[in-house]
Amino acid sequence: MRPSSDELAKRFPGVVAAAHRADLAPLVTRLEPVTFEAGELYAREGGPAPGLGLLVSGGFSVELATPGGASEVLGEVGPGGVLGEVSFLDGGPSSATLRATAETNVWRLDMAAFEALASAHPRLAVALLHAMSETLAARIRRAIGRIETARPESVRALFGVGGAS
Amino acid sequence: MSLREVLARLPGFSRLEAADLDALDAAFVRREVPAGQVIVRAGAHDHSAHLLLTGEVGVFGRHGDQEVELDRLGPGTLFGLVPLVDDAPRTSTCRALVPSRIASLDRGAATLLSHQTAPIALAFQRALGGELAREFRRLDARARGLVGAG
Repeated sequence: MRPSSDELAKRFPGVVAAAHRADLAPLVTRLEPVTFEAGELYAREGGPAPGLGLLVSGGFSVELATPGGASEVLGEVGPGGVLGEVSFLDGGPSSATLRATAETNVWRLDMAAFEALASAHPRLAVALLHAMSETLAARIRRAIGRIETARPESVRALFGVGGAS
Repeated sequence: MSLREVLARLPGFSRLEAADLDALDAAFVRREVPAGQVIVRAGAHDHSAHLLLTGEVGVFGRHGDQEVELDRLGPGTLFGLVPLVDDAPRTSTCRALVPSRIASLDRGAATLLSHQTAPIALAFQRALGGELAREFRRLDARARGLVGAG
């Protein structure tokens, strides 16, 4: 079932923070409720962009392929999480595999629905893009933190002794 | 290549009409940067975004007391975007590796663009989001490489 504007704002305050609640109706009507059974994929690493997903209940494991061909579980996304924002913003392939760990409900906005929203309600589309950019800015800071706090031998192997300065 | 031509080639801006591109063009301040000059410094509280027109820029982080190059940027790249979005201090230092030309957009001008007429605001936010996503992919690949290298 599609959410109400109030439900969307309550469950995903970060997503709609930049928009007035009264403006949410055009977004709500474009969200597609989708249920995933345990083991089903929301996205496959390197596969097509799955659209923006708002995780309502259940969860997904985040998996990355290893050089040996196996996959490594990096973590889990739970209710309130946002899915697919990287490929949503740059149109590129999925950056990770997302596999449902239980029956999982998602409100999904595919790219065609977003483009329709952008044409009819550009201010709301701007607010949504801004919220996704904030999410990504936080992930960029975490990625830099991972590099800067990695073990010294790892940094030497990847960047060369003494770095590039 | 002129600033206007570079802007027109950015994915987010490519759909803008000529008048909107002119407005964007006018919001940027151009300058020459000699090799070695710091354009943004880690920890600083400035919130300008920059577009590299010509030349090459290195993005540097710290690892202990050593500097490591996180990324290397070529012409047509928007950079220094994270503080523009989250209002926090700079995460890394960007320095010209060769004599370069950049065009800068301060936070006030960016905020003005975000509240501009819909086509410009939407195009600007698309470009910003797209560049952040590409920056995240580059850094994430490096962070993953560290796991493999360890």
